[in-house]
Amino acid sequence: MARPSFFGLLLIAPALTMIGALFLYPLGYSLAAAFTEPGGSLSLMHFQKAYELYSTDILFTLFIVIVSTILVALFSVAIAGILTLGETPWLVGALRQLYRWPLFIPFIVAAQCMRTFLAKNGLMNNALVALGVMEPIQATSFLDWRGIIITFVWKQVPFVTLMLAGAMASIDPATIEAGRNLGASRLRVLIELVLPQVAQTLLVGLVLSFVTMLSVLSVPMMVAGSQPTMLTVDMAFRINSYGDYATANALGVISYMIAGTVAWIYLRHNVKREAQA
Amino acid sequence: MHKHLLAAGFAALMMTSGVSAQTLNVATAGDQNMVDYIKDYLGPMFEKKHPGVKVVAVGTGPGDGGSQKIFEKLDAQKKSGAASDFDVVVIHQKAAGTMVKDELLKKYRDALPTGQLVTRDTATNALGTDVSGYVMPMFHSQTALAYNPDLVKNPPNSYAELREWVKQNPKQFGYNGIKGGMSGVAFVTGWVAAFGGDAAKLEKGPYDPAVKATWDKALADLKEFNKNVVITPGNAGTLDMLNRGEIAMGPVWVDMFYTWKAEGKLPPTMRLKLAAPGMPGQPMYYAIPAKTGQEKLAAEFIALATSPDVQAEGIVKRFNWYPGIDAKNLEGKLDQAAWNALFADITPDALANNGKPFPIGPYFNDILESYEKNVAN
Amino acid sequence: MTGSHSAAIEVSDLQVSYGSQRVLHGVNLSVAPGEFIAILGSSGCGKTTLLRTIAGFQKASGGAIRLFGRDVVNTPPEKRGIAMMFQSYALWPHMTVLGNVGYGLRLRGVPRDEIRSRVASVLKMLNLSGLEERKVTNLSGGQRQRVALGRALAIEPEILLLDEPLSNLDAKVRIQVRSEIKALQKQLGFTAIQVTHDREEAMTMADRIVVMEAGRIAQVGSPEEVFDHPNSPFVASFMGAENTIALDVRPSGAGVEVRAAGGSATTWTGTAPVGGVTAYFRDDVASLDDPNARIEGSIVLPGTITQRTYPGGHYRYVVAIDDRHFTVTDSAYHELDRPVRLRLPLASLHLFPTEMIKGGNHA
Repeated sequence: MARPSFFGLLLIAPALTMIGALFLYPLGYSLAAAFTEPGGSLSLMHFQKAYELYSTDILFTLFIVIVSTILVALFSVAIAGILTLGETPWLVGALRQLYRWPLFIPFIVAAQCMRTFLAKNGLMNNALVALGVMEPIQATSFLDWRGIIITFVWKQVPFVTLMLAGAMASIDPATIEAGRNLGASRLRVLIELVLPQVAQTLLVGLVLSFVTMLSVLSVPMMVAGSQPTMLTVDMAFRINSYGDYATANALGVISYMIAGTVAWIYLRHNVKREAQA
Repeated sequence: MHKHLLAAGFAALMMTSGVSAQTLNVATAGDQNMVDYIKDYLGPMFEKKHPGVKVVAVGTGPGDGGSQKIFEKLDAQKKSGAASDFDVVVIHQKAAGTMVKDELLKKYRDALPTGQLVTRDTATNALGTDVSGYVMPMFHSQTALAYNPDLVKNPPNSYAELREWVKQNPKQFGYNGIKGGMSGVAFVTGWVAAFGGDAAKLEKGPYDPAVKATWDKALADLKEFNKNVVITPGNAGTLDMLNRGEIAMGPVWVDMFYTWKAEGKLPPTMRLKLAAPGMPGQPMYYAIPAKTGQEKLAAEFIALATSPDVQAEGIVKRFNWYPGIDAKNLEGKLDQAAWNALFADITPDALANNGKPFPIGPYFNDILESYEKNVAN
Repeated sequence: MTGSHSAAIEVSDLQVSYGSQRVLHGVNLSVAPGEFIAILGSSGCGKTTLLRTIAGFQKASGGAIRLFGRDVVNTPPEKRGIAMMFQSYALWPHMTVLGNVGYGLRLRGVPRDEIRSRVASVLKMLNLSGLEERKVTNLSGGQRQRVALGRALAIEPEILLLDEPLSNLDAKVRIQVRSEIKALQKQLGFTAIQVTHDREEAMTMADRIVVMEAGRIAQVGSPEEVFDHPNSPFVASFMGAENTIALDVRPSGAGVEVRAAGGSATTWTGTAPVGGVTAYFRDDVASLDDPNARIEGSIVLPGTITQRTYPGGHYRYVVAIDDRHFTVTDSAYHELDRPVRLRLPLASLHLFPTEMIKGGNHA
């Protein structure tokens, strides 16, 4: 078993070739492009340019993605909590039916919907005015950083909730009942007893969401104006307007580093857990 | 990657070539509407006049990127000594200049019956490159300020007036920056031309890398100006916000503006203004690759496409573009309503005076990058 | 019992349904303070449902539950002030022993130092001293069981519900923990209801036993009452009287004359239903005698020994009488295939009129 056979290699060869050709090669290529100057020698000039032109956008991207991730965490914990601990059958049933819908809507369609929903005279403000919650004069457009965050949260909450609700459903329900039996409210049960048991799943969901949001182009492009904007838009602009792959790749490397930091936090947590177990 | 996709597209294209006795391959940059225009309108018309000829249209993608792909293809074929796959190409100004310099195009216009109908100087000068004889403008598109007359009684006549107006009406003017489409880019290049110094040099060249340093003041002012404006999401975003009354004014593409109006996506009261010293517009060019085997047919195709009838019906009426040939040739071909619709807000005179070309390539890139560095970041 | 305020737990006409299916059909039960009740029944009889409804995890569709006079039927579980111990122990895997046992105190706002000392004394009581900082995932089954008990007891509850708390333990530990729980209950004085399907466990731990059948209480009484005087064939067979035999009872003088098919008639001075009767008896009630013996007050039936096992302390025989087989426990050794007489003392049989057992197969 231990000796790799020729046929074994042959079997995985297509997959390896695919990974190599479609993933590793482009990745290496873009890294190389980011770190070499036109002459071919190593240089950080593209990073310097990326910083000069896009330092605000780097911070903006971090801000958007971090705030969105935090909100996604709050909402998905709340929804999964209601699904797990809720005692109003029709509410739980309705929520269970509804919450998944955004999962099946592509980012670009979500962005398109949000454009009409969040505009100053859009559906949301009109509804609020019609309900008498708000005066027309108070209406403001959410088509800026708030719109991006709202779209991201709307799109990612179902994903994390799906994972989280699944994890919560698989913990021993008696551990929930034991908490309530001792006098814990449902909120305390959720925070102190249920969440710690599914923390791993929550972390995975949030890391995946973080990286997904970091890489979406359509939402910042369509929902908000371009000043400031997210790194994906800058990369697309760098290529479309100047054919400048080098700076775009430098921005890409910065994105890798942001995503890599999150992945590192996740891995470190994992290792710690395994060491404890 | 995109080159391979394109190659696959070309392969499919070549497979269809053998089917008909004669095939005229037309490659066009630009959005899907460009492909549709050739496939659904121009192609069938040409095929009717030339039995046995089949027109095949292929799109290479929007913006300068689409033209760049046509250039790369022709360049590669020239270097390998192969005949060209394309018989007619529809390209942007930037690529047209490069192709003429690299001798990838035929000088055909002087022999074209409609060649004499062209008067605008974009027919001879493409962002600083002399292209006379090599290209025929298909249409001109133009940027201008769209405004809501209910909210703006006296639209600004110049960029300077606009600056004042914005100061007094904060958050009522919106544009899409430079990453959200060309209408915002046009506004910014117009700003630099208005406040940055030698506008003529930007249009004609020659290029001097030191010039961009002289824009610092203009761009600092623009950054200040931006504090009181709304940055909209994209070309369509500006129109959207105008439609919903969230902004009162913003730069738009004239053709898009009219199309939206015709489709009821903008109130009919909306108006246009082409403020001094002007905002840029750009033509799309018809050109014939140097290595085509169908030179005669290609020229006939372009002659049809630039005939007054087609320009009136197809370009002006259908797509709300400005004609590629001189507008006066269209008088009588176009009903008065269509004529008025196109020239009501921006008179032919205003168009002639304030309709500018984009700056030449290097300045254009310098403006965008300076904007990113000094205004956006 | 009357609805006196002295009852620790008073359940009256309690009904519970899962959807359209009714699982408790009007249960009445009154538990005195300090009493230890065992609810006994086979799986699906509703005993766990009754416990969970008292705890508040299952909504009642009718009836009342009063704790020391307070009706809690619509009170959420966290406000009922009942402690419960779960079959799976339900310890929180992310917490230490201290965290688990002290959680109820933490909820009650007890200061940290006091939690520590009170948890320490609970652990001492349960022989778990020094395990405070241990993760509960690193404990043995018996230790986990004690931590679960400690968690329930740490809040010093007046009422403790136990849902099959010993079923996951191996036999030896189970017997030990059984007496520990009983001793703690005596010492601390809380009222306890324990659900179990283990008859011996119920007998040894409870002051009173509640036998449930199909969503109803079949019998309530002290272990002796339920064991010696089952009030129905179901209770009789559930308490171990699994042999049955049809008898014919006729009045005779001061007593009755009892006859079994194939056996001689016996007169008896005890009371018994007259007519066709089915007798239920445990295998230790019967004994094997000389074929010719004839004893007053006992049914004696001729049969043959077909099987013999020695489970320890006594022999267990299978005796064939005609085409029927009975298990009998007897301390004496008998040869196989030997004709014997099966002796059934009438006073130890549970006699029920045969028509009471309609089509039921309680054997």
